[in-house]
Amino acid sequence: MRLSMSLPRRARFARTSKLTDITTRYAGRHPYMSGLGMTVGALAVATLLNVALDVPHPSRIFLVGVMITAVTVGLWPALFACLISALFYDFFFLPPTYSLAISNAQGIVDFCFFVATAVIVTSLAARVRRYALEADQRALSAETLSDFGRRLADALTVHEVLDRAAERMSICLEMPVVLVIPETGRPSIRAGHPPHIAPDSDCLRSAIAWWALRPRGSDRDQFVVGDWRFRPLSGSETAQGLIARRPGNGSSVSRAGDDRLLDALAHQTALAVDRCTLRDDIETIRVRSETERLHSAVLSSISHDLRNPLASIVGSASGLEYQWRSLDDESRLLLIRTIRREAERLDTFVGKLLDITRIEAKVVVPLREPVLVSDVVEAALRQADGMVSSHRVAVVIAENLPPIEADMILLRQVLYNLIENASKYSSPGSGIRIVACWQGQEVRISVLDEGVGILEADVERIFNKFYRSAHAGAGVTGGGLGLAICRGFLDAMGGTIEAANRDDRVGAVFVIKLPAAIQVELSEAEQ
Amino acid sequence: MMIEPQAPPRILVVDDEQAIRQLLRLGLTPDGYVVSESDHGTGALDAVRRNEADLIVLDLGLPDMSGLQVIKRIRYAQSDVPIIVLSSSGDEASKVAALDLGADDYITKPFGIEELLARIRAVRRHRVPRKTESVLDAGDVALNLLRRSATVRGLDVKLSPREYELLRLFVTHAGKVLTHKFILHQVWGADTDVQYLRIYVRALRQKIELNADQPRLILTEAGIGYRLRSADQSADGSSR
Repeated sequence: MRLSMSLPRRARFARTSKLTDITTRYAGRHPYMSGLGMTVGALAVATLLNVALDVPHPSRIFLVGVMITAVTVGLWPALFACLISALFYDFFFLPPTYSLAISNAQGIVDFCFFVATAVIVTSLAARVRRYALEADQRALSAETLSDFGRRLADALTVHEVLDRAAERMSICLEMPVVLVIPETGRPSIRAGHPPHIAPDSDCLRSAIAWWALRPRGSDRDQFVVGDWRFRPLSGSETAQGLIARRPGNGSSVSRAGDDRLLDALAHQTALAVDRCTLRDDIETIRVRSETERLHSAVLSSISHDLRNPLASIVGSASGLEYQWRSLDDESRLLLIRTIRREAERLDTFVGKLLDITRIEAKVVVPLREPVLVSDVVEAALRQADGMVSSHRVAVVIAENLPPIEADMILLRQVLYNLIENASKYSSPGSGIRIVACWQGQEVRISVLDEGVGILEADVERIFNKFYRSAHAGAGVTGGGLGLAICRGFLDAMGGTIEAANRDDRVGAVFVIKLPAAIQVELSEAEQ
Repeated sequence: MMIEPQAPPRILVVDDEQAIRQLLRLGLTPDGYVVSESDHGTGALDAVRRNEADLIVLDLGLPDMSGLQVIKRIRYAQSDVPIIVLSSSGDEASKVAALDLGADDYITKPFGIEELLARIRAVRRHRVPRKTESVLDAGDVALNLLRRSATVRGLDVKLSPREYELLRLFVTHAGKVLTHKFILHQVWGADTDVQYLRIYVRALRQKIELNADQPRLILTEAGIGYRLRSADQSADGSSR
């Protein structure tokens, strides 16, 4: 029995017992020689005792030798030792000595008792040994497996799982191991340890062909190409792959313990691969449902923000057309103003749809030119003039603020969207502050309002296209595009935008960061 | 064809969109303009050749030739008839191109008719030959051309020679958009870095605006240039 051979000596986590130690050292390699040696030793001791001390029954000495052989080396070498011992006993000690013949009945009985006792002792001792080894092995396997499982547990991708599994398998089996998951239509996922040893592509191809064509349920089969042995990696429905290993020259015979261990490791690997695949699937489903949410948001937004103004316009215009005579001047003006306001709302929304389309089509090519923050704030405020007329707007621009490197048109649109947002989410009469300051090479422009602020969970999400915060009341209209455009434009310009709640009071603050431009020296301008 | 001194100004509308032409005819006629229409660029060139228009409102997208082409050929024919360009939003590059080719101003679709009327007035005012008087008045800002001095809201303002030149350019073109290139060329006489202009405008604003961070006189036209607000322009009249 060569169970001991499969015990991983190099593995750090392998616990080795005393028994294993003794057996692995010499006896493991030459079991029958050690059985013979033990018997010769017993013969020597028996002869010594017989000659020197005249001990009458040397058979017990042989029994001790046989027993030691059985415990340390195993059943068959011990039985071999039995045979040799019986011959020695007969030859050297039973009369007539130095002959295999037995002269009297006493001798025949002695010999028979000796053989029977030796065989029984041998089988008992060998069984004890086997139990001990098995217990040892079980403990070791459990430890190996749990360690293996731990290592695979926190692997995030199939690749990582295979990498770690191949490394551990290679260490446990003391041979190069390569794991392959063939993918139809795509390159196979592979991992191996040590990294530079792998079967060549022809070998791999024929192994994959064998694997793909093997009959169902024949998972324990082996396939040998050159030095490499392949076996399926399967323990579950979905994870399907191959384990390739290359046993060393000395031990081309597969070891039973190796196979059992490999089975268990393969099973765990398959489960881990399964887990990763499932996680990927769940992520795919999540993305898909997010996409669906987005699509329905797009539809509802478009029907809301395009259809509603159109309905007002068509309705008002037809009212004017058919009721012209019965309407007084004030009513006519009301309808006309509705048409204009709704048309302007429509124009704004179409502008935003165009902006977001440009961002998604990646055709936004920003200029990188020096821009004075005061200029762009002014342009944005003027664009938003009608919108913020009922708010108190304050602009605070730090002294000597360097120009920023930006695209004026894009930045104006960003600021316009932020100002529009601030006015939409705060009540008339409240204040909107635009503050610009700089630190080193970075200029910050903040837009602060006195509205309800932002839910913590929304701080990032409000930049998503068509996302509308739960804070948005029924009265707030708008397609949820403004902030997505802001982020898209700032990304294009190499800046950032973030949302937060104000420290000093209730309200939201949006902070834009852009790099400062290199300033030109202007002595003349100082005058 | 002789023009009576008090003859109503004739405006040619060049746009292939029938609804826009009708809108302009209905919107401009009550203000005393005589409106003629053309739906292609060749018609505009013919009208200019026959001297039938005192001002052209020109759409940039025409079926037979681009609006930029029309401007180029009108100016090539030595005509200085004022041209106001109709452009779509977001297309700052073609606005600048049109202005650089010799268009006088632009207006972005969709626009309110009052906005267009203000543009027409501003463009025409500049075209009225200047009298020999020594004071230029543009609402809040007045310049004394002889003393080379400026008055803002009735108060004297001390300006450097460059700032005075800059302000004079704005005042003589009050209400009209001026491109960066045009201003640099007029005031500096050469192609100078736009950043100089920005810093001068900022300095000028600090002297003439109540709040330089929220200017009400010299307005920024993002991506294009500046505009001095004329007395009859509303605050948001020049946006978009």
